[in-house]
Parts: sequence; structure tokens; C-alpha cells
Amino acid sequence: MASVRIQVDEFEWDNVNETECKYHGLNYWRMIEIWANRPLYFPNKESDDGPARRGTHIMIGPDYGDRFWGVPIVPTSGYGVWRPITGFPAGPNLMTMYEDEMKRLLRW
Amino acid sequence: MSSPRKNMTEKEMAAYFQEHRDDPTIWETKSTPVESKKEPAVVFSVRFLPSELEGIRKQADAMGVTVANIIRNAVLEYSSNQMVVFNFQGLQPGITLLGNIMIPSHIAHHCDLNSHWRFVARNDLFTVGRLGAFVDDFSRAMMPPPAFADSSSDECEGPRTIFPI
Repeated sequence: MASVRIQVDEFEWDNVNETECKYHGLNYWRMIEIWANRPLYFPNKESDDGPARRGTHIMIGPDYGDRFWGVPIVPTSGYGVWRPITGFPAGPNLMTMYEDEMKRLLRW
Repeated sequence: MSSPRKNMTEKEMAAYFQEHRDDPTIWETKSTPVESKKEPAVVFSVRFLPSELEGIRKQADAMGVTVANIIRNAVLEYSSNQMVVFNFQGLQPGITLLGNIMIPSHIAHHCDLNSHWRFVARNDLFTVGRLGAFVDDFSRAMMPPPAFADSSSDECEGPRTIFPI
């Protein structure tokens, strides 16, 4: 699938996603750390059922403690504003996906 | 491969993604090119009753500021308890402004705004990267430093931070 350039400037929080993310150890400070560390954004895969929401991506990258996170995000109505749905420490498969893509990008 | 449905609620999506937290098959293998601003920001949604918001909007209109500004400054005042309310010369009695300049903490350790006033920031609430350098530069960019109603007698007693409108 062709990649469309996205703008990621801000993250939208409210009590709902803050509570969800906090339960998994992610808060907006950590989110900014990950964002500042230039994470990679992978779009969700199209399927027969379709994606959960158009434009859903997973942001994968390290926080300032070099702990890698996966954060599914969806676009909001605000340009450059994305909403975290949940978050989790990146597992080995996500890490492999991240590292493979980093290698591919570095070859360019 | 299962896939999240289009009509999932956010709660269901969160559960789905947690269930598939280390499942790379639900994501494309190539990342999306991204652009970002230099300064990150957080947007936090707060629910208001229409009547509450209307009251805030009227107050914002009266002050010549945006609703977002008035909410933001009110919350920062509440959370930091460092807002300073100044009376400005030339305004009608009883009208106050919540300051019209900001001295970001990183540059405001010892800023002489004029011969009578010294401002010292107490914490790191703000960064100044996109605002300019020292207070003189910032003031030039925004407006001249304010004239205080009684600057000769009301000495600045301690550390203060001024926030922008």
C-alpha cells in the first residue's frame, strides 16, 4: 500500500484514553518522550473487514529510558492531532518489525 | 487474521490492540513518512456544559482573548498558583488583566523588566524555544513591558512568573 505522509504534532487526551494508557504504564510525558525520539509509524493493514478506523497507526519507538513502546493512535479532526488508544511495551515481534524498517530506511 | 471492525468503540479498539499487542500482522511492514513540529504539545479535552462554556466565552470576548487562552491560563493559575494579576494604567478602575507578557522560566532567572521590578521564575513550566531570547526580545515581539499601576510602591515580594494572554 502506498504510504501517505502524515503530520504528527500533538496528542489528544481526555479522561478515557488517559486512564486506559495509564493502566498500561503510558502517560503523556512518556508519549512526548517517544514522539521526541523520532518513532516509526506503521499504518494498520487493510483487510476484508476494514480497519478499525481509517488512518489508524501504531507508533513504535523508545522513551528516554530506551524502553520501546507500541502506541496505536488514530487521527482526530484536528490537523496533526492524534489520539492514543492504548499503549504497551513493544514485544519481540514489534521490535523486529521496527528494526527491519529502520534498517530499510537507513539503506536509503 | 482477525481485524478490528470499523464500528468498534474506542474501548473495544483498546482491548483489540492489547490482545494483538505483539502481532505485527495487523500492521503494514513499511512505516509512514511523517512530519512533526519541533515543539510537542498535548491537547486535553475537557467537558463543559453549554451554559458554562457560554459564560467563559463571554468573559473571553470581554477580555479580548480566546476561550482556549482563558481556560489554559485559568488552569495554569490553579495548578501553579503563580499567576500574578496586575492592574494596568489607562484601564478603567476594577478592570484587571492577567498579565500580557510571559517570562518563560528558562530565561527569567533574573530579568529586570524595568528599574522597579525584578521577576524570578520558580519552576520550569515553560520553554522559550519558539518565543525568542531574553525578556527584551520577547517584549519587543509582543508588546512593550506593561506599566504597572503602582510600581513605585508595590515592590515585587518574591519569585513570580507571568503568563501570556
